[in-house]
This record gives sequence, structure tokens and C-alpha cells, in this order.
Amino acid sequence: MYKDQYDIDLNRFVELFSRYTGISKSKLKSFIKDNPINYIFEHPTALDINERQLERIRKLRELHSLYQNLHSYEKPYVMDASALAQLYFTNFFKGLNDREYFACSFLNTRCGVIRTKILASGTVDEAAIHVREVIKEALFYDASGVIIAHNHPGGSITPSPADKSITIKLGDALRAVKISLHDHIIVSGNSSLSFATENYPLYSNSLGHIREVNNPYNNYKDTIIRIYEKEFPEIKHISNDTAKAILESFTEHNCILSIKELKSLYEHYGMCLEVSFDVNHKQMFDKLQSIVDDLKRAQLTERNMQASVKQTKSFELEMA
Amino acid sequence: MKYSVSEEIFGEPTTKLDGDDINSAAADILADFTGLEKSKIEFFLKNFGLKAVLYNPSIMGISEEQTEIIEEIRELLNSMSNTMNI
Repeated sequence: MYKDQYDIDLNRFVELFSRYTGISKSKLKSFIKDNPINYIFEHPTALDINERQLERIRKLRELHSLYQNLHSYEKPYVMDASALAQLYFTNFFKGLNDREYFACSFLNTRCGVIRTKILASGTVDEAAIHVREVIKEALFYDASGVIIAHNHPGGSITPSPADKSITIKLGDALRAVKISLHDHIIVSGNSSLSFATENYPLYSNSLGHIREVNNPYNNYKDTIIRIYEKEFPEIKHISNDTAKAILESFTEHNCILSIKELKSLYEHYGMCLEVSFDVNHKQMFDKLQSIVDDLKRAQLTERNMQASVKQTKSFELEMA
Repeated sequence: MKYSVSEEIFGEPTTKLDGDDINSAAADILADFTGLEKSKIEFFLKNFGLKAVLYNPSIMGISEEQTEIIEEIRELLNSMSNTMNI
């Protein structure tokens, strides 16, 4: 019995290893017959293989080592702001340009992604998207929020009347089961549009975007504090407008920027403007300048607060 | 007398790398095996981690064939762990 299972595992290993390295199964089998199996990784040149196959083993070995190191490293991606949802779906739809795909992200109460699924493809219209399918999946994953998204391979991110209509239908249906539809993201290449940011209605009776009580989505400052609390604890003193501007810069640069990166981008655009004037660079520079200024203000506020706490403490000690 | 020993090229520890370098190295290899765009894999590795990418590849929005490849790579990595322990 044990032997049988070992043979099954060995055959599967040989099959997969052969598929990803290009080394023939017979060669692998005869090598394993005469040598310990770990020799494949420790002495691969003994297999008498070509450079490409050797390189593939090296890569597998490296991936395995990374896999061992990073196996326990896992963090939930939190989509508590339109900018983060736009960033996520821009990357999600990369390489899916052959047709329209309709995807749903199911989120927990803190807007962490539980699962994202493609629920329809082809021409995404009301006929293709089954509302009950979305509800069924949302209930299955015990989601408290949902973000829907689809791509426009054509190039425009402007929502069609059908996009608006299906959003409202889904929003109303989800609300009936006490699940929030936070947003609808449309992606085309590296551009994206958020219904929530653009104030397109998500529910039938909403005039624009009405916020529900305790909805964690698009509380810009909360999102920014969550992202930077370790790197820059003073972030709590920035204004809501700055928080929004920082989030917008994520979509513009297609990544989550660190405070250090924001500062070096500000310096970069400043240097570009010194060399030659460019309207886009100027806009970016102005935006980053107001962010950097507010970050400096936040640092000062924190310092002043700490100084006053120290002063109060020493005063209390003196009094005592 | 101590003989000089030439170090194995294979098994070069990758722990020398850290942060984004690790993600970039893993993305490079996964892109090679799956045919997916490196920047796409890198984004998901950075934000979700390697475990999530290997165990829940659907978070990346990929085709069934690509999902199958990633699942096979995961299986191969697991069996490599077993064979290396022999």
C-alpha cells in the first residue's frame, strides 16, 4: 500500500517535473532508479541536460526556496477606497483584453478581499449577468460588501446605459440581503473609472452616492492611516483632501506609493520642471507639493503635541 | 589538510534578497512558467503574498489554463519539499 502510494507520487512528480523543465520522463526515471531523488536538485548536471533545462531546474529551485521563505507571508488586500479598487482591477484585467469580463470581489466587514471571481464574459450586459448568481456567491462567501468590475477592451471607460442599469439592479438586490455594493469599476488598459468617485448611482433611490452609516468604503483618511501608520505615524494629522490626493496618486502611478516614494516623486517633478516646463509635470508637482507640505505640517503638529505632553508631565511632577 | 571545496551553484540562498526583490524574483520565475505578465504577478505578490497567489490564483483574474499551470507548480513545489527531505 505504502509502496503503491510512493509510486503514484513519484510518477506525478516525474510528470510535472518533466513538463516544466523539458527533461524527458524516461531520462528522469532512469536517473531516479540509480540515484537518490534529491540528486536531481543537488547535482543536476549529472542528468546530462542542456543549458535551458539546467536553467529551468535552477529557477524551480529558486522558486522553491522563495516558496519556503514566503509561505507564511500572507496579507489580505483591503479595498476600502476607490483608488485601491481601481488599482486592483487594473492589474486583475491585465492580459484579459480578448473580450469583456465581469468580475466581483467579495469583501469582509473591513473591506478585505475574501475572493474575486469572474462571473460572466463576452458582451457584458444585463442578459449575461445573473443577479441571483452574484447574490448566491456573496452569501456563500459571507461577504458584507461587494465591488463589481468589468473591462472595456474597446478603450473607453465611459459607462454605457446598460452598465448603469445593471449596477442599480445589483445594488438594490444586494441591499435587500444587507450586503453593500461599494463600487463599480470600469477598466480599459491602464485607465479606470469608479462609479462611487464619479457619483454614478449604485442604488435606485440614491441621488448621486448616498453613504450608508458605518460604511468603511471611501473614508479616505482612515484608508491612508491604515496604509501608513507604521511608516509614518504622524499621518493621522493630515487633512481629508490630502488623503484623497495621495489615493489619487496611486491610480496615477499604478502602485501603492510609500511616503519616501511620494517625496522622491515630488523632487523628481521639481527637477524636471527646472530643466524644461511641461504642463503635466507642473500639475503633478503642484499636487505633490501640497501633499508634502501637509505631511510636514502633520510632523510639526505631532512634535508640538508631544512637547506639550512633556511640559504637562514635568509641570505635574514639579507640583507633586 | 583541508581540501578546497567548490560551492554548488544550485541552492544559492535567496534569503539575501528582501522586500520587493523577493517578489520581483518570484514574479520573474512565475512569469516564465505561466506566460503571465511579470508586472501583473508582481502586483499580486506584493499585495497578497506568494501563498495567496499559489493557493488562490483566481484573485489575479487569469484563464483556466493559467490557473491550472499555477496549481501544478504549487503541486510540484510541494513534492520538491518532500523529495528534498528524503
